[in-house]
Amino acid sequence: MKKANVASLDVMDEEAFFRAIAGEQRKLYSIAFSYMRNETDALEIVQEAACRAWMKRKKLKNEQAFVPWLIRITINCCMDELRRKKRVVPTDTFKEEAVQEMKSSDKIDLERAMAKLKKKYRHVVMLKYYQDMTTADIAKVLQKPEGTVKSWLREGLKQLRKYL
Amino acid sequence: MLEKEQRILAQDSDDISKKVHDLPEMKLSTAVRRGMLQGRNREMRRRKLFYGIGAIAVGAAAIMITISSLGVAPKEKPYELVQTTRSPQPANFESFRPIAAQDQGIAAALDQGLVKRIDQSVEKNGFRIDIAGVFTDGRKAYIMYSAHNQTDHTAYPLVESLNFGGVEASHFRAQSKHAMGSNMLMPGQTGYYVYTANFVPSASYKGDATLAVKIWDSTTNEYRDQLKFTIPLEPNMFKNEERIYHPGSTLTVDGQKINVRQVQFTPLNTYVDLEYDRSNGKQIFKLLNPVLIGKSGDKIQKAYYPDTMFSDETKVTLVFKTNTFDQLDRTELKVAGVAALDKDKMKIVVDLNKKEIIEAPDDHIQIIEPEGPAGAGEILFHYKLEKAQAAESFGLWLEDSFTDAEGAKHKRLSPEHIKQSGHTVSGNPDDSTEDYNPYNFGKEALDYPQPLTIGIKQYWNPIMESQSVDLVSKKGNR
Repeated sequence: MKKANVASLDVMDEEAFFRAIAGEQRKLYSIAFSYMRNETDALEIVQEAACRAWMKRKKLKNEQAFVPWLIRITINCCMDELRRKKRVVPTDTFKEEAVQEMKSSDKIDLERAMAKLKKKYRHVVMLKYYQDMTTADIAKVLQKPEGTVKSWLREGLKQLRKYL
Repeated sequence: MLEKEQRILAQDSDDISKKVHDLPEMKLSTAVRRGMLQGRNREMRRRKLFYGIGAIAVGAAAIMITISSLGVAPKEKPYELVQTTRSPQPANFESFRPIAAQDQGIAAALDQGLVKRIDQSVEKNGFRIDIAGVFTDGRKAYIMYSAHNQTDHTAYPLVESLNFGGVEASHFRAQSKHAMGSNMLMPGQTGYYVYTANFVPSASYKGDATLAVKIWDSTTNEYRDQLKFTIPLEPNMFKNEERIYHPGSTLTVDGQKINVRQVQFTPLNTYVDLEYDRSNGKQIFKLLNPVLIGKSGDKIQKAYYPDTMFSDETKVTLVFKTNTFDQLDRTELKVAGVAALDKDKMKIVVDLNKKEIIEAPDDHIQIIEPEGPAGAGEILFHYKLEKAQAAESFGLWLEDSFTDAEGAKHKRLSPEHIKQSGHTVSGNPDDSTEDYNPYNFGKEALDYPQPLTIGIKQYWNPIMESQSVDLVSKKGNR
């Protein structure tokens, strides 16, 4: 995972902060899209993540952990939004969406299976398969030991196999 | 053979990757800018909530924050001056090779064997830092080090400063690069880093280097130790190998002069120091698409996308990722144009009561009605950027203060109600986008003597005029 070019966040002006995030914006969008599955929602996630990152910028003590910090914020935004959508959108509409978007049955099955996964397994599977991150990198993002991440990955894949 | 779930994941990942790739950059930039504006709005509302009802800070934060914080204000110990000892074993420089992909200077040093071996360590309370090697070229300093976390907490090192003889290298853009996902080290883990810092051109650096390093403990959320130590390193290791030229040439774009003060080739990079002529009638904000071109007979080499150092309203240094162009017959710098504005137009004058622009650099900027309600004293600027591809997220940047008609200075406030901000892609084939900039004068400003004047710090006014200037030729201008 490449390193972001940031100076001290607490004294960084808006333009410099924007440039720091802009350097990672496509990666954040990619993560958001893998969770939200459509452009509009994924862009809203990127917007919300930028909002939260700006508000929390002074609390990041190590500017050198900027990228994993941003990724964590983005993932949390995705989960918040998915929880909110779950409260307002009945699961029946899955079928309707599938017809409109002409999704393959594999894709529909995968999305449903992902939704059933424990969130810690889901994050690991997402970061591994959609962002091509190593377990060491994932461990840094999730702030867990690498061994734990490997175990979550194994368990996550096992559960997906069961649901698919 | 892949299991079914892995096959489906791989296929899905591929599909998503294509969709992600297709999204125009401007849409992402718009989302980020809007998000930052929202952040400012929420901060403002949170402050009002706090002061308005006397809620305690914890209660106010609980409304807004859903993410675990990385730490509260650290309790800082004073720096401890420590002696280094010989590292337990010699460093393997190739362990730092993955970091070279991020910085051509690092790649050049490793490839050419320019790293000065140090192999000195400091250790405190189970956390050890090994300085593997160093290299400096008088413009940038690089410190290659590894950190070994032998504690039972997650922790990481943070280089706070680097100084030579008491004179500090610049903090701006100083950073430790690493190839891992995060700077953090789990218990038992080792990490490899290269710290880079720029030297301030006007400063006089002498003597050995002193590093100030903090160790952050993620478990206790505080700095566990702060160490200062000295390593044998001079500010310019390659003094005898650098080639410095003073071409005395001038790049002229739209009649604006950009003087080439110096071109410096070091074994690591090429540094082109430019100064904007004081007689220029325009303020230059940015050189557009600068390219270094080296020519020898039919052979042409080019270096694109330089980094910049110490850029301000009077100067900029371009750092090109090459170091051999002066070995060719001729080297020149070419630009596609500049982003610049007449100095006497660097303001926007507004009658806030009438919500009218009295004076602006051009008619690309307008005041429009926002989509939602606006607070008293708030307006929304709409700005059309032409030749937006060359802008690369270059935004309108206004001063944080404004003056009223009697010359009194006032501070700008964060937007309260207007949510629109950032760029939107117009979808026109004319390569334009639209920029939305809210500005909150505050409701008191309605009673200030009108009109109100806002200074401009940055304004996208591209002047596309391809020009080049000679930097070095074999006939010699050293």
